Amino acid sequence: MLQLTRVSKHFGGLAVLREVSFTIERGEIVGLIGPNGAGKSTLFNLICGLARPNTGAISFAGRRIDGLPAHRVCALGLAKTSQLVRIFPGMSVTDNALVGALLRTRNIRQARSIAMAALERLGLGHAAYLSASDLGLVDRMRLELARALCTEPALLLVDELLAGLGPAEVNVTLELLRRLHSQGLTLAIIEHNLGALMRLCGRVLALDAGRLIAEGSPEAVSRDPRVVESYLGGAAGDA
Amino acid sequence: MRSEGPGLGGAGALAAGVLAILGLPLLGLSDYAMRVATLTALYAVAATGWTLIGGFANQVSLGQATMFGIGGYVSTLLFARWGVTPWLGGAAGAALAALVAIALGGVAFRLRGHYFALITLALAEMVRIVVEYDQPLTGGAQGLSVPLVRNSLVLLQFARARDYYEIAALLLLAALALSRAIAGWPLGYELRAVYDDEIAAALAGVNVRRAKMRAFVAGAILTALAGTVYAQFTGFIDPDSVLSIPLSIQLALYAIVGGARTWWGPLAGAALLVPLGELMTSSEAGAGAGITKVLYGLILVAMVIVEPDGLAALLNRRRRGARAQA
Repeated sequence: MLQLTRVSKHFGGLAVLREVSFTIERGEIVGLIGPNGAGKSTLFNLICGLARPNTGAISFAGRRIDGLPAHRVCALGLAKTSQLVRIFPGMSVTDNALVGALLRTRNIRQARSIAMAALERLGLGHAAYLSASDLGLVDRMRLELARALCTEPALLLVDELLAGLGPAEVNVTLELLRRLHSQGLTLAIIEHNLGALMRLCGRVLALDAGRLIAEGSPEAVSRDPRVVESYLGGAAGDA
Repeated sequence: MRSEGPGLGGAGALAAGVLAILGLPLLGLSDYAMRVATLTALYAVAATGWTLIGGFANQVSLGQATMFGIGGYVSTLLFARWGVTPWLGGAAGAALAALVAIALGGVAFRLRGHYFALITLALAEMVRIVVEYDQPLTGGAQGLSVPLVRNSLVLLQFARARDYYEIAALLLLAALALSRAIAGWPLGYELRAVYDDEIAAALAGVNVRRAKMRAFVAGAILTALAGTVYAQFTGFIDPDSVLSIPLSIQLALYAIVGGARTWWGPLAGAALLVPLGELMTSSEAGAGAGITKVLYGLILVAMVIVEPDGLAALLNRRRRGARAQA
């Protein structure tokens, strides 16, 4: 469904991604791990069209998407939620989701009912008429997910959804992602919470210093000496 | 920073507003008062043009006067040189303004941030300099007079200010109707999304460049049409009156003071500030020149401190307060 072939990205002289290749098949939940600065978010930004790779190719559903602007990629069925939750604070909760639905219909009434359905699905129905700026962090995150779902994605990239959540909220969110997956959504997830990732993902990719260093089942990747070293090295470097 | 749907709803309130705008001449105001009312309506149209892009999407144009000037110069030149009726001249001016907006937006909307403001400012100065330089065609800094032929709807020339007022009022109603409609169209939602966060909008599937372009072009057309009627009404245009930076700032100011995120904010701002400006100008000889600008500046500062979203937000807040108490 998604295929990256030797994708590289550098900012000025700084290589952020080096010849990264992998595929994601329909129906998977793939985790992406790596220490800070490994290039995870940059990788997601390249895939969703916020930035272009310097070399390499990205294909989604059989067509090249590198170089397409984000709204075109989104229209093809590939959506992303942001690491720092990005909602439209000046709009109502419903209107936030409605903007996503406008990609599928230009009829405001239809878009509104798509939005309401997505809000209900994520347990935000009660907040539909609030201003988005009145929501707490967890609900903002749900709202961003709802808006992404309104664009009717086949593949959803989730960039650090769990950051800042307490254990109970993490569980609720994981359950939510699992449910979306069971309803046919393919997921790729960046996450620092390795425990959560292990419970959720069928396959994990590990990135370090812009290179893909390991790939496989969560258990295998978490035991991979290079992965262990990259995390320990990072921790040692931080200390 | 909250914006809500079309707002100021109520069919009754709307009908009353339309009747008040169209029926103003029935009050038997002086010719001078009707001149001020006409100017107010025309600047309100031009400011509405600014607000579609500057207010709805927060893409601040510092060169909206360019569109006003294009409307005024194109119709006046066509009329003075070839006797083309200003109705057609106005359409030609609007078409040229739309083309300029497309060219300008094509460059500026590739970039995010403040480039749009800078590019509109640069273009405005370029156009003004070219017009001043090309004296044989444009009359240069001396300006252009609209040849007075006769009292005629076809030639858009009238002896009485109230006749101009009716034309300006109809244009104003059309502009307000368009602006209000856009706020409720998909485009309106997209512009509000762009206002809040361009990247989030793109990630939600909004074609950000297309949304900005549509708003900018629609606004350019409105502002150019106001410029054509302004030229006919005053009978004389020069770069200072229709192509200057201060005019661009003024138009933005009307919208911001009134409430740039609403369809009726630009009218509210113009209705407050244009008569005030005229009053100050007419007494300026005594009070010292430039006092109008000082006053405008003070009003803007006060407004930004009290309510950055303009009179509209002030009013909305009071209405909400009243409802909460009830």
